[in-house]
Amino acid sequence: MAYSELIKNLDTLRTYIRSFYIYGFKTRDQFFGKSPRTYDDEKRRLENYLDGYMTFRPDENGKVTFLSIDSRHTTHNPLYKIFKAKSFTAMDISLHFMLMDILADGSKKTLNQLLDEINDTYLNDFSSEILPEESSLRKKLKEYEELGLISSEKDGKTMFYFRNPMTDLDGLEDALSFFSEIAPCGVTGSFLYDKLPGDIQKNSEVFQFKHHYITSSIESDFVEQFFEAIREHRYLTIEQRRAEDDRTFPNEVIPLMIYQSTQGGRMYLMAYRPRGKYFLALRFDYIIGMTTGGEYAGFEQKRAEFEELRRHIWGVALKQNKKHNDTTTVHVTFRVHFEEEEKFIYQRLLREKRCGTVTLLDDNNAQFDAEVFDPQEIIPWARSFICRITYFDCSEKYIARRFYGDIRKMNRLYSEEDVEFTEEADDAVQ
Amino acid sequence: MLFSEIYSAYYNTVASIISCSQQGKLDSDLLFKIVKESAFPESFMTIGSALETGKWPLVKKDYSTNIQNIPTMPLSILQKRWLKALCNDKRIRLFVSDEVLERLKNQLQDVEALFNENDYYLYDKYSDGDPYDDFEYIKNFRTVLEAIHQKKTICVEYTGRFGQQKRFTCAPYKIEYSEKDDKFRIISKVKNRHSILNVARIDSCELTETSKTDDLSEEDLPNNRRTSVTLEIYNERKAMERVMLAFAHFEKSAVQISDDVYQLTLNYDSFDETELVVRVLSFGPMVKVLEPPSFRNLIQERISKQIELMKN
Repeated sequence: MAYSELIKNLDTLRTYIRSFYIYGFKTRDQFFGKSPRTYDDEKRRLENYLDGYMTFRPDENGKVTFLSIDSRHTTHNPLYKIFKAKSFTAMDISLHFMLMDILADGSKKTLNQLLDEINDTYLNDFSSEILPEESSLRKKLKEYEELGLISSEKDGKTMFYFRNPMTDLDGLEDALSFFSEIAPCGVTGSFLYDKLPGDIQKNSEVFQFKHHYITSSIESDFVEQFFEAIREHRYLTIEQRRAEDDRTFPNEVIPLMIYQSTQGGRMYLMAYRPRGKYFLALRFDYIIGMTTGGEYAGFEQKRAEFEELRRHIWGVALKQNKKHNDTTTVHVTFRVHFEEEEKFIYQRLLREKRCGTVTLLDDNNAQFDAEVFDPQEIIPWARSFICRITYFDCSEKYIARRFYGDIRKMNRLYSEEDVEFTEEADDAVQ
Repeated sequence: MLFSEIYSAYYNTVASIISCSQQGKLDSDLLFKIVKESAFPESFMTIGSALETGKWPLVKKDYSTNIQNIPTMPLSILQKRWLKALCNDKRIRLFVSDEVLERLKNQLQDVEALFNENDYYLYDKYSDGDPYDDFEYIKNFRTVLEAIHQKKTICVEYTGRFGQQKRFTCAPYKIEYSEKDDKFRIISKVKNRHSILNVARIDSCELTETSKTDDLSEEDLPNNRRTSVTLEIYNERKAMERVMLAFAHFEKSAVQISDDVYQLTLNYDSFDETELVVRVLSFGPMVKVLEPPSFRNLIQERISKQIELMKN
C-alpha cells in the first residue's frame, strides 16, 4: 500500500515511538519482526509529525534514529500530534465543513433539506460526482450526534438535526495550557488549545513541567475508554502483548482505577478479574486493544474491596508470586540517621512514606515501617537513603540479604575499577 | 472517541484556509503558508492538491469558497467531559477566576465528568504538595501569573528554606510544576541571578507597576548551566527498561554496548544534581556512573559511608 501521511490506527506507531523515545539505540536492522518497509514508513511519519525532535547518529551497526525530547524545556507535549493525524475520506471532510456551516445559525433541518442545500449551495461549481448518498449523510449525522457535535429531535415522523451550542472558552487559556499537559487524557485539552488564536496560545505558554513523563500520553485513547467503562460499570476485554515473547493474550476485567507513577511515567490499569476472582494490575503500554462489554453489577463492592487492599500496595503489586488470592503482607523496616542540619531527611521520609509509617526515634534517627504485598517495590526507594541507613530488615529474609548484598556490589562496582585504574597508572609510571 | 479526524491538524488547517478565503485573501502562496504553519511538513502535497483540484469541494478554482460562516465546531462530548473533570480539580482556581469557573460549570451542568479523583491515582506523588485551598496561596499565584503575562516584576515577601524572611524584587519568567512534588515554582531572575522560588513560600507579593521585564528567554537567565552524566546499565532484573523509562524525560542518547550492557548519556540542569544522584542510587548495582568524575565521586562517597555504617 502506498505511503500515507495520515493513519487509521495507532498500534504500530506506538511501538515505534516507544522504541525511538524510551530506548533509542536500535538500528533499522535491529527492529526484529518488522518489515523494512514498515520501519521506513513509520519513521517517515514520525519525522513528519515530530519535526525537530527526531534525530540520528551513526553506529557501527548502521544509523540509529531516536527521539530526543527534554520535556522540562518543551512547552507542549509533541507526542499529542499522533492523535491529530487520523485519516479520513474526501466525503468526511467535505460533509464536516458543509454541515457545520449549514447548521451554524442554529436552524433545524431534515436530512433531505441538508442534502438539497449541499447540492444547491455547496457543490455549486464542483463536480456533481461529489454529491453524498443519503445513506452517507445519515451515517455522518449519526456519528456527529454520538460525538456530541449535533443533536436531533423528532417532530411527528420527521427527524430534525441541529448544531449543539458553542462553549465559551474565554478566560480558560492558562487552564488549558496547564491541564493539557498534566491531566489524564490531556490531549483533549490540546484539541481545545488548538482552537485558540495563535497570539493567545503564545501568551499562555507560561508553564514548564519538571519530572514530566509524556510517554504514557500515547495511550490516551485507551485511557478514555477505560474511564468510560468505569463510569458505566462495564466489563473491558483487554488485549495485551507480552514483551518477553511478543505473544498476545486477552483479559476480561472490571476496570477500577488508573495508577500512574510520577517518577517513571508507567501507567497501570487496576482491575478485578471475575474469572479467577482476583484483583490485578495491567500495564497500559502492553495494551494493543480494548473492547467494552456489558454491565457488571458488583462494581461498587469490588471498588470497596480494592480500597481495602490499597493500604498495602506500595507501587502497583497486589500479590507476591502471582498467588492471586493471598492477602498476606510482608513487613519492611529501616532506620536512617541524619545530622542536626539534615532535618530535611526526616521531612523526606514523611512526605515519601506512602502507606508506611515514620517514627522519630530521637533527634537524629527515624524509622520507617510498612506492611506491603510486595517488599521488592520498596527497595529502590530505600536505596535512595544510601549513606544514612543504620538498619534494614524485612520479614522475608532474602529481601534484607539482597538489599545489603546489592550495596556491597555497588561498592565493588566502583572500587574494582579504581584498582584497574591504579594498575594502569603504575604501568604508565614504569 | 478520542482518535477522530474532527480534532485533526488537517481539519484545523482547512478551517484556517476557508477563513482566509472568506476574507478574500487566499491564493496559492497563502494556502501553502497556512498548511506549512498549521499542519505537518509533508501535508501540502495532500491538502494543497485536494483543495486545488476540487477533490475536497471547499475552495473553488478562484480561491473563493461556498462556506458562508467562519468555520467553527461545537465542543464534542469528550471535550466537555474533560473540562467538567477539570472543574473538580482544586488547581483550576489558580488559573481561572471565580466568575469564569461558575460560567463554565453552568455550561457543563448536564455533562458527566470524564474522570474523578477515585478513578486516577499518582501512587508515588509526595504528600506535602502546595496548599491549593489556601486563599493567600491562590492570590499570590494569580499575581505571579499576571506578572508573567504583563511582563512585569513583582515585589515579594518570602520565607526561605531555613525560615529566614526576605523581601526582594523578582522578574518571573515561567511557572514550573512538578507532578512528583505537587508543587509550583517560579523560574525567575532576582538581582541578576537565576532563581527558583516556591510559590508556597511566598508570604505576599504585588506587581511593581513601574518596572517591566525584558523579553526574557530561558537561556538569558544567569547560572542556568546544562551538564551531562553518562551511565552504564546492566540489564539484570529488567533494569534497562526501568532506567530508560525513569530517565525518558531527559534529553538523552543511548548506545547498546553488548547483549546486556547499555550506555546512557543524560543532559540535565545543574540545579538538579543532588536529585539525580539519589535517583541513580535507587537503581542499585544495575547502574554505574562512568563520567564525569565529580558525579561518580558523589555516588562513591555515599556508598562508602553506607559500607562504613554496615560495619557497625
